[in-house]
Amino acid sequence: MTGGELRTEGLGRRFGGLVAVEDVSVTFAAGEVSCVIGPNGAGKSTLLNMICGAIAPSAGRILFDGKPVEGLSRHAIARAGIARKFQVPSVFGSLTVAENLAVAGGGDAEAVMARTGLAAERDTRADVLAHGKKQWLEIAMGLIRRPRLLLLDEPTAGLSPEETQAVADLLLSLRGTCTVVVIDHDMHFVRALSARTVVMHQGRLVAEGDFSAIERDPMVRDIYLGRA
Amino acid sequence: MTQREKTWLFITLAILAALALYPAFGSYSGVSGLRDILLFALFAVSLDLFWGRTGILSFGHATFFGAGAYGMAVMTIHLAPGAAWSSLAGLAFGVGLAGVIALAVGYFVIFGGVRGAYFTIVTLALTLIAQQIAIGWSSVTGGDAGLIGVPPLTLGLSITGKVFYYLVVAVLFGIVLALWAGLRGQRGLVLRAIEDDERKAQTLGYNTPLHLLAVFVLSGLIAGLAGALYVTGTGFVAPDMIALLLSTEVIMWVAVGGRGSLIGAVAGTMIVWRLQQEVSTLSASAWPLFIGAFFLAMVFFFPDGLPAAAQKLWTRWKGVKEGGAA
Repeated sequence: MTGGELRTEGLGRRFGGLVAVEDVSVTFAAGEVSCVIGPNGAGKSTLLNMICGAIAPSAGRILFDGKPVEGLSRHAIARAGIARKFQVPSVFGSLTVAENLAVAGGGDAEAVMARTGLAAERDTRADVLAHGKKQWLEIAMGLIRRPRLLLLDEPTAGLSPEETQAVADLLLSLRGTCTVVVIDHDMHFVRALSARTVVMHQGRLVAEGDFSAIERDPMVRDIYLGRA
Repeated sequence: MTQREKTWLFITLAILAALALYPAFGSYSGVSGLRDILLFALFAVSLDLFWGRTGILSFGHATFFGAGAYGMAVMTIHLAPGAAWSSLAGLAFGVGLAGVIALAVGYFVIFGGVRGAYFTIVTLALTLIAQQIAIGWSSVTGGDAGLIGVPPLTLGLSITGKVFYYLVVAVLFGIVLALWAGLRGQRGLVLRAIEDDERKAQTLGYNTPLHLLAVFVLSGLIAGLAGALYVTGTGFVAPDMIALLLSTEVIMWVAVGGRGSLIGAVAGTMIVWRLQQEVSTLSASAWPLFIGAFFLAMVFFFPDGLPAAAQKLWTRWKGVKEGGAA
């Protein structure tokens, strides 16, 4: 399986008088790992919410493998091959780890549990898992569906440095098989991914390129230091 | 099979065995009374299917029971009186009417995103509207007096007495077992997932409103079947079969038995009816007050139902005993 190409054209979203996202045109190439960074309120999560159908865009288009997906329901977008991990771990608390994976998809649950370090917790109810394990479980629920596009909103929040590195290694291993778009504040994690990076600020796309170039960009530094 | 499923299977078989043996010892009126309670139990199972498996409380289930009852009565008394096929037509009409109402209301409410307490309030209003129609449309429904003279169920030959009783037992347990088997696998997991986090279930590709609507309509059809069969036993239908009190009582039956287990709804119905008989012998008018107080007590002290409370007590007692022995 190969990843799908995601392209947005002039994408925008307003909430009354507030412009959350404005005129964002960006392409995430098939099979690539990309990061979206930016300070709080930059519009990153709103961008993700529009891509996965949680909210409708006010303007612009979203094309997945050339087909428009804006305006489709969440489940239709999911069936098109787009999986999403939420900022706050979103798992089914009354179900066990194995049952969560059974609901998520028909893939090889044992292999996915082994890959994400959840094999020992397979019969544990998800609501009693530690925060880090919930993060892993939600990532596993995305993986088991063998998506063509995996959207991850702060997948390493609350994880130890070792676990953060493990998530980076896992995502990098998906290169070529699945398009991955990650939103994260953790610069160590983004650096570990060393991926193409898109910078958002005040709802707009302000820079994009290799992370090494992005982190040297004076404007990006100013944005993160609050001077832009 | 999990330990919990084994426990419920044991309870199911025990209740079934007791019900199968009852006509050998019970009086004619006792058998008829128990048959009616079992039809209310079927009604409770219908609510437990929706409330127990989706977590959404419907206060409008008396509408579906009443639709089944009035559908059967109107067909057999007004539309096809005396016809050999009128019972079958009445069953189809009553159950179909309940299903159509559930589909129409469910479609707009569920696809409109109405959930939680708002769903409960909308369905409560549904019961009030249905009851007003039953009272106001007197040329068809008989108004306050209802309709008298619903013939016994006739499927080739008239089904009455013990035969009707065993038919009801078979229908009730057939439906409970079919639902239990149907909800054991992936379908049951998906419903539990929707109850936990509907938004997450949607991002996994599930059309959650469609799943909820399917369960709501199936639940309405079963409630309609209970109502249609009930009036062939009693011979009459009245507005209290489509009333708010009945919608409240069925919630109580399910709550007492433990939400989500299906057979618990059967046990809960029988326990509450037994209580009703005891309270009514003291004072007939005390029952509505008692059920209100009992409902509050259940919510505060036994929110998971009496069987779950008994299981907790048993576990605690075993722990004390083993601790004492050590």
